[in-house]
Amino acid sequence: MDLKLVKNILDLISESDVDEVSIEEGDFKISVKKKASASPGEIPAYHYQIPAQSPAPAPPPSTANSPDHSPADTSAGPDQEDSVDGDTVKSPIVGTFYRAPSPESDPFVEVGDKVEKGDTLCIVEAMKIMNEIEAEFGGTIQKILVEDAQPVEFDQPLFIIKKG
Amino acid sequence: MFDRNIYLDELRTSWLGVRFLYKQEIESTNTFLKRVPPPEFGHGIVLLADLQKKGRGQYDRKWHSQPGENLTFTIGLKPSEAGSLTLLTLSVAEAMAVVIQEQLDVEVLIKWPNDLIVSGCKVGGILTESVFNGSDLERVLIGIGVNVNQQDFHSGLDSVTSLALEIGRPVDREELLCRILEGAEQAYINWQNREREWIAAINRRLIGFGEWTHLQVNGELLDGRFKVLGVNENGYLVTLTSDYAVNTFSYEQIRIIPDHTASRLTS
Repeated sequence: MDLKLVKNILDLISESDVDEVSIEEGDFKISVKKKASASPGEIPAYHYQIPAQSPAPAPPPSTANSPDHSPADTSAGPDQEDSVDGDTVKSPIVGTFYRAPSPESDPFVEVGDKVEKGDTLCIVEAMKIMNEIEAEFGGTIQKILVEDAQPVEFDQPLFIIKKG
Repeated sequence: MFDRNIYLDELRTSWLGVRFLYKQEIESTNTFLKRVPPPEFGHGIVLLADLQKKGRGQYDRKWHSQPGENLTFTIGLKPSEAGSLTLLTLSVAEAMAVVIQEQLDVEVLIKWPNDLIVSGCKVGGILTESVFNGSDLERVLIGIGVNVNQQDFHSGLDSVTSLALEIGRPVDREELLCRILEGAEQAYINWQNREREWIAAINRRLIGFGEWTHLQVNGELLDGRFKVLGVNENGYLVTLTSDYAVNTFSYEQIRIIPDHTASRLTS
């Protein structure tokens, strides 16, 4: 056994984000696990087709523009404390929500910003495909409902924009 | 320089690339077509540039392309449905692979989800982007780069090759583009129809298909091995776990790492 190789592997793993690694090459086999690894109950969300924080099941595409009753939607009723006046922009696809074109850039929009029809609001990335979401109508951003870099479901509300 | 007249003379498509824009130099063909005002953007428009100053490859790595040597272009589309742009990307990759194989007798494989590989080296890549107006798909940009006649590549880019390096003679760029667009036109129709035979052909060309491989998901290497069952009609990657459960990946960044390269896990 090549001890130097083992040391190299250990160094590489300690520098990386990987918690556990098994390598097999011929009759050489090594399994390494970091001490501070995740608890067994903690299953990463990517094991599932539907992101863990997904809201109620998405309605069929034909109802995309009709009101639904997800908590973020204004149609949920005026009693809610966080009820915000405006129209909801929903995600047209499943993916990862990004508020800026790149990690170093400023967000496309902030709460309080005025947007014109056609302005880019966010990017939803899926399988390395960058999908830019533009405003369908002009107005003022009332609320941003998803954190940067979070997975989003089809039809999940992303923004509330007050028209005008 | 790319000869537009030869290209238009040679082209045998019915709608793809009939509207053709050529720029000697541009920031990025994808970005240009993304920003073109709606009346000027039509389904099937193609923009080719001999030099992209901000051409992007995977992970935003700069595409080291020598001006006038390769094919760097974007296909602009207005699909009637927003479903599965991953499958559309793979369809175009499959069409390119078929064309290159037929024209130059070079075996081409697809590396999930958007690279073309010849004898273990990257020879081309696809970068798909889209624009939604609210929930309506407004346009799709399929950016394509193929290393055609470039002879040397800057260091720092390992395992890169060109078609000319593979076959030992220069390749006619105008003719190759025509054949690629003819293939891509049919691939688009196959994608629309979700042709089963076509999806099966994509899967057969996928590196790791039917094999037990390692998977890197959103940058993290997963425990254990996964058998790659291929792409389904939704463009999702389907795998079998070592416990014989089925995993379906719908949007994650996946890297399929075949077992024979597993010892280079950190590369």
